[in-house]
Amino acid sequence: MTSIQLLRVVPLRRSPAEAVEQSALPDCAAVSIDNLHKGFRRQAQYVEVISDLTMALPRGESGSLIGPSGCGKSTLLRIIAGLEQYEQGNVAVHGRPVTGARRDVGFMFQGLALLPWRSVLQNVRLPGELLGMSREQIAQRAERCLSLVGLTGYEKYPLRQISGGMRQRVALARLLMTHTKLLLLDEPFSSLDEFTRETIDLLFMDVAAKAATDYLMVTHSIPEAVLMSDKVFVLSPPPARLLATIDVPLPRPRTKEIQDHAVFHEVTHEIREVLLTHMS
Amino acid sequence: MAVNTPSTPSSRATHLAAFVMGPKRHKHRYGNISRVAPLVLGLIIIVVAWQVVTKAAHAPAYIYPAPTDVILSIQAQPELLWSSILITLQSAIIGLLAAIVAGVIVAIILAFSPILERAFFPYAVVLQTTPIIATAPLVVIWFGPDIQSIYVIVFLMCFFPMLSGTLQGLNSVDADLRSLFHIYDASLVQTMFKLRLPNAIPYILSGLRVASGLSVVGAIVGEYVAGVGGAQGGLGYLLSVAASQLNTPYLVAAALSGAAMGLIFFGIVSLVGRALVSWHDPGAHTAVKGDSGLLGG
Repeated sequence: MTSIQLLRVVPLRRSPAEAVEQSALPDCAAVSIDNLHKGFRRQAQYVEVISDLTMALPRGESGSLIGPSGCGKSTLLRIIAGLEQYEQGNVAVHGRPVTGARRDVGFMFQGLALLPWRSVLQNVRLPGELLGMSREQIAQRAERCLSLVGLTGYEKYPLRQISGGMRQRVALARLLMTHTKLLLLDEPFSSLDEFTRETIDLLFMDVAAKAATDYLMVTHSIPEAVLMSDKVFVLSPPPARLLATIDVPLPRPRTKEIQDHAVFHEVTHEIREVLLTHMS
Repeated sequence: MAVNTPSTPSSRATHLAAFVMGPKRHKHRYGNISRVAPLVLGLIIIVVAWQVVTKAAHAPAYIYPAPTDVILSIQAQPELLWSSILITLQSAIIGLLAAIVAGVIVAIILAFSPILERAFFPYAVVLQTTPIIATAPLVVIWFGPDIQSIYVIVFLMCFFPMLSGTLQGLNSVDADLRSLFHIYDASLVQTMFKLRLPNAIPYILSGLRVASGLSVVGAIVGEYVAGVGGAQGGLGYLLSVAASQLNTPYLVAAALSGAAMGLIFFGIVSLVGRALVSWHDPGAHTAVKGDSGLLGG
């Protein structure tokens, strides 16, 4: 039994009805968004952040949201995660409308949201504790998740004694504690230096593939978007609209060397062109 | 007490950490000596100046006692001072412990419901704004001129800083951490004991720092007002007796004992704070660019 299989045999608290509903809709998109509108009331004014956005990420594929800063990428991601309300339109994950936070979606915060008073292991255990897993389940899963991200041996370390890259791995291990089919990442690696980020990018793709989970990430970096995605969604300056969906026809698993591939450069160039045309 | 400064969470955390744990210690070439030596030097200068000025001015000891007069007065009645210190210490500790327990529990209850908090917290402020000199005689009337009145007075002094400190900590959880618990569908009880309460510990300790100083003040004021004498008389009673007898050197000795007790309380709380919230380093939970920790990536 591989480590991943072990992770997946342990069921979460999920109602039977929910399970049936999921299995009944096997072919729908991982994420589908139709005519989404979102705004904020700032003083007396209504500021539109997302305007009539329509996009879809097919199941089994992973994507990136890229666009100028302040364009509402993070808001969009939080809407998909059920952390934010929206006024108009339809948002669905795996065919089920998003009405609030849900168990089949994992979220990685920009600031990682680790609990500073807990050790590495205690942080990874948290989802198990909150979801009411048994002690043995938690211990077993936490051990697997930590070994997947290469943190075995660091269980007892307090967070303040480990590097930014390692904290990233802790957050990733915690994300793997639950059985999710979609991971949403809000610029999670943006605070790392280039070299560390590339290492974490590759590790993340490897782990996501092993866990058979799709992901959708927000990023500022075009090369990172191309490296990690099958589809890159280019958003306009605010209020956000979808400017283009750009396919990345590069094989998986992706390696460091793929960044030297001609297709990589073509796609990177294409995205930059789309962004530049709409920025000016 | 419930100060709401419009500062960013991280700067608030920095100030708070500095307040709870004292300023960051710097490892010096001369170690502890370089930190302690100026303190000792300052004390020596103050005491010597005090001695020289009072003696040079030929001030009578019952008005301006010199340090030597204070020491002589202690030597004359050492047991009385010592037993008074112990009684005041006992009252301060019992009242403080009760205030810690009650303050934290009431804060948790109020934090579960914003409506409860809005309904009752403002009235808790009344506890803080009513002068203890006005409350103390009432307490003595209600609870009798006995040591339990002193406990109640100490409790009344210490309860509010504990309540407001804890409540502030429970309500100042980082938005992302709240979202995280929301995502995992955590119950109110789980959120309270796995997120809000641990998050509140530095705030509880800063409330405790304030309360520990107030507990000694409360005990002495209580004893002074209640006039519990004899074997149950603490420093407050000793102060009133010494003042009425114009035994000024002994009065100063009792006052300095109270001050020292407050300082020791403060020091103990600071030490506990350092040990408990070593994690409370504002930079610890955010990934820092160019961070080169144990394992680069």
